[in-house]
Amino acid sequence: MTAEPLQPSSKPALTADDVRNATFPQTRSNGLGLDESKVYAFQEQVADAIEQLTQRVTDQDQQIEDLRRKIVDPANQARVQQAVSVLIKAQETADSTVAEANAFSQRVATEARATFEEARHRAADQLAEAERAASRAADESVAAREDVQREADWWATYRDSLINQLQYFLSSLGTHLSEAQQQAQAESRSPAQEQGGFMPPSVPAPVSRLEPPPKDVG
Amino acid sequence: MSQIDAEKLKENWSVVAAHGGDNVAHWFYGHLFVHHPEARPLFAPSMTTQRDRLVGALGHVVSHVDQVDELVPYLQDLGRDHRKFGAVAAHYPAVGESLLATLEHFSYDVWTTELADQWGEAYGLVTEVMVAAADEAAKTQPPFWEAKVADVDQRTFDIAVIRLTTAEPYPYRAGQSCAIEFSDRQPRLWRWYTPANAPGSTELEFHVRLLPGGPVSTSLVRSAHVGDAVRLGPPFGRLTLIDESDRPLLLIAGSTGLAPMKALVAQLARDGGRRRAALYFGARTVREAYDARALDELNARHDWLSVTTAISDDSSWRGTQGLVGEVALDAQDWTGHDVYVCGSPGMVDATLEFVAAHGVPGEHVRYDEFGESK
Repeated sequence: MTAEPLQPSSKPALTADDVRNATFPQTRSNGLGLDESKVYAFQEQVADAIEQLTQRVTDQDQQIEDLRRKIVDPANQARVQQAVSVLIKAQETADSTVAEANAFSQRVATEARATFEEARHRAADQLAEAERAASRAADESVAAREDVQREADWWATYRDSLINQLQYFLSSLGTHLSEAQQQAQAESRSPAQEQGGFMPPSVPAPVSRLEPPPKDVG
Repeated sequence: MSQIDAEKLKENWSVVAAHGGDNVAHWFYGHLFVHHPEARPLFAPSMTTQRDRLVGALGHVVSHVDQVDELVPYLQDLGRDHRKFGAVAAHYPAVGESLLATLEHFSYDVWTTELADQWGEAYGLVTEVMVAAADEAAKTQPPFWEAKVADVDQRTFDIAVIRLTTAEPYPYRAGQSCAIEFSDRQPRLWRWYTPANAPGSTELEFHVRLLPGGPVSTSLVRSAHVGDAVRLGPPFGRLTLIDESDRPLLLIAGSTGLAPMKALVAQLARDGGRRRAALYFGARTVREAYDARALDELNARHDWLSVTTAISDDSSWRGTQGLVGEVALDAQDWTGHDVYVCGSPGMVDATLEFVAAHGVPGEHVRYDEFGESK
């Protein structure tokens, strides 16, 4: 067991010596370039910083390497096993926490969906009931309309019959009056008044039922 | 793998697995992270699904260790796919060490030097295949593709149509799927979805259904906003047009299983509409017919395409009623067609039964199941 690091530390792209030894071309314009002493001082500063950082990285790499050696040291295997067990416990806790969150999310989403489905079915049932009620109402209105229509038809027929009867009566009356008038005129010209006074003929009474007029009238 | 005693490995694996796959995987990752804590950030906080995958992969490798023709393509896919997690060749030795330590831990007294050598050799070959496949893929493809959410169209409270844009066209075939990581909200959790449009543009349309308790689908449907970052893994899957076929097609989709079917229809249109296709879309309720307008447009636009929607549990629907698989297969004789099925596991299983019962040859059938992450 070597336990090599997965990604070993790499050397910095710029070293302190690179910074110290950097040179720059002279400026061509007299008096317009940078102050060389300031540039060199800054270079030195940067080089010192890089050296310190490099040393820190080296020290930390060494610490990591020491820890890795301890891990692979057979004498430490019991501690390594213990570390593995602790890590497993920690992972189980993390998994449990995430699982609880997912279970809660699942419960909420499932309940929401169930509530929606219940509402949907209820709405569908209510819609079906409303349709049935509307259908019943439509059927009842049709029946009622038919009753009214029948009633209306009866009255229309009765009305028409009455009109016919009245028309016939008035026509008969008119005819009779005309005849009576003619007769009266004729009688007024005749001294024979003892033949009888004028008496209007009997007027047929209107029928009270829907019966054709009696055939012997007129 | 001719030097490897496959039976010895299978026997040892059965001894190890008897302790419980989850326990074995727990120990493996515990060992790996103690020795290489820098590997932990490559994984999601919860390792439940990852442990299942590890055990599944190990079991698959062990059970096929003497079937090279089947095992190599599997390992190559695995190697290519692992690139999106940030796995590199340098990780494999560490994984191998933890794997051997785990096998030894659970083998107790039956562990021998010979077994260690056998497992070491097997793992070495596995690594060789996976790394070679990853290196080959690296020549032409990035490990993943960056994308941005361009639009979120929430069709119902639990179904959304999401459009993503990529910097370059994502290289897939119509009907293939890809793993998606919702980087901004659920980093390091990858779930599989299928683009609903044909390849060639920098826009991808996905149909996402919220799975109760599913962190990625819930975030995508309920929390995605324009501009959110997403990553796409490499494309995979066989729900594609059969190259050498000119048979007409029967496409049967349940719910968001419509996505790959729309992609296939788009591809058929791009190919000139030379093959007739019948698309049957099924949903339980009218509400869940979330893409009705698009289906009507497709039906009107292409005379070589017929679209039928079947609703199974909604009395307000005045159209075709019933289970989509049953409705489709009863419509006519489909034995001369290529048949594609996609939907939930229950819907796919039921539809495949109808397909078989109606005499469609198995080699003309392709299917994919949506559901919980595996």
